[in-house]
Amino acid sequence: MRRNDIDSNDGFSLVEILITVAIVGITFTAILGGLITTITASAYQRKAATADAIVRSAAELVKDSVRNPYANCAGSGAYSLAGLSVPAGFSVTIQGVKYWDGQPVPPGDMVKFTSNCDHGMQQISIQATSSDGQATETLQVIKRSVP
Amino acid sequence: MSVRDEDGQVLLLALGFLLFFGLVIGAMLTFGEASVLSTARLREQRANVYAADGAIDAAIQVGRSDTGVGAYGDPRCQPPPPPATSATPTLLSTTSTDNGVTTVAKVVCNWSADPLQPDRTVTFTSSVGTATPIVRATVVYHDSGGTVPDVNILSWTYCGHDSGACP
Repeated sequence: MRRNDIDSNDGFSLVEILITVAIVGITFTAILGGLITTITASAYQRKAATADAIVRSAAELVKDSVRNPYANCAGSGAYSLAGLSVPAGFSVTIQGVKYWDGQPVPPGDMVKFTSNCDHGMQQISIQATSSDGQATETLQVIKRSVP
Repeated sequence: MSVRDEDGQVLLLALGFLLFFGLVIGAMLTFGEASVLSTARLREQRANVYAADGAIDAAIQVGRSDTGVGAYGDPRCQPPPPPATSATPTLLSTTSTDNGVTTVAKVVCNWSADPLQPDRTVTFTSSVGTATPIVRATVVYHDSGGTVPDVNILSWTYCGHDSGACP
């Protein structure tokens, strides 16, 4: 029988199977790659979102003048984050405090925060981090003396 | 060629598989992209709100230190007379850095229209980037009380997407 006989299937099965296996292999490799990427990105997003929620909660706690009264010349440890619900695998800390320089602010100018305390207003940096270090969220809030 | 011939069918099957899984992968990547974009957008919104919030706090404190802020006729808190060729002047700005991104928030103010009031009633409005307000607060400075006046917050509004909240 001739190989190019249009009524014949002889001799093509092996090549076809090999090509099929190759195509399916490449396809599944791409699918697995996509899945792994998606899962990795999803895990990171979940951690980032959790860290984001934690740092926001911490910020609200720090700004709360009842639970954390304004402390003149406060250092990083002056404001308590006790009572804040932090999920396992995450931590939250106050990174630093800067102080308003107390100078009059010309119209439109920036309010300046320096390391010289204290004129009734502070810029506080808060950071939440996942224990594996993948997700880190930082936030700066301004706290002023009350009333 | 006979229609019952199997020649080329594997190619069609392979193309079908490629198309199907291509669509599946495309859909998955689209979901992933949407998730990343929404997280980034939420982060940006959060940064803007905290920056605007802090700027209002800063303006309130500056107003305690400088009793001229928001006093009757204070030009810093007064829109230009008509025909207005410029916007209400910016009282002050603040910067805050969140996740390495620095956000600048601006505050404009308006004084109380009643010159007979001994205390200042001032409305502060903060925005980021555009003039669209993000936070608006109305406060009363009790100037008659002492050198550093006490402050009462009359209202504190997050304008959000509701343009009617901060007309």
